[in-house]
Amino acid sequence: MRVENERASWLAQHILPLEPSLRAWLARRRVVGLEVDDIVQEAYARLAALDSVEAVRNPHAYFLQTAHSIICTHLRRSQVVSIRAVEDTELSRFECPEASPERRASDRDELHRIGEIVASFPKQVATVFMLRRIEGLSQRDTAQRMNVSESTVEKHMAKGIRLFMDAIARSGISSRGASKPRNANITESDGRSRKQCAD
Amino acid sequence: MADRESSARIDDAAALWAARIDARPLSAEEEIELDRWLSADVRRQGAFARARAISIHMARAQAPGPDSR
Repeated sequence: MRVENERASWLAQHILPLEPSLRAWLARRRVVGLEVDDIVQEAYARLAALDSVEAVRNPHAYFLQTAHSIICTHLRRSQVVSIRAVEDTELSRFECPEASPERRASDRDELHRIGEIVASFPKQVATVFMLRRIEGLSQRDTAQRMNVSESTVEKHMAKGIRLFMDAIARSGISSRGASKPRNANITESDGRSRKQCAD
Repeated sequence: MADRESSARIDDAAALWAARIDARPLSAEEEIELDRWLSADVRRQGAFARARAISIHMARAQAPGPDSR
């Protein structure tokens, strides 16, 4: 259940950039008793737990499909009959503006974006991030340089990751994973059409 | 549903675990604690995976590759 490093890297490259568009889509669904954040967390869990991601040719469609499946499971459990949330026509219209080539951001933009987010960190958190990530110091050396405990450095790094999690949820990031042209609707990722909540 | 752990609290804990794992090997106790924490809620597993992914993404600022300019 603990995500492997390799899978975490795959998520970083292919899924993180798609998160804002998934959230925007989910925000319009308003499933009772299910928050967008809940669905996103569970979707990441399912992607982390896949035996292999080799078959995931279209991460965008797969991510959406996964979220769709989570909503269906929830609706079945809560015995909600009206399921506007899962109309296939809407699924197929799901758009990902971040993925269109003309709006593709370069890696330089991405680094710039990371820099912007870090610049918005509280001072101590930003300092820890700079020492650890930019200067490449170990946690111990960072602690010595700042004259704080290692556990304080750890907490600052955790805060930085936490702030990044929120920043990505709000506005997203770019990555090469997002620069592939969008070429499939939801039914194409597994080559079949899907009935409402049939999965 | 009322006593359900909020996704924000889960993210707090996930970020801390991601920071720990990133910085050093976990102690034996921490290994057990993390597994126990993860096993209690699938959302925690997702939040942890996401936090790890974000930590990796942030690290890209450290070493820009040849295709990053």
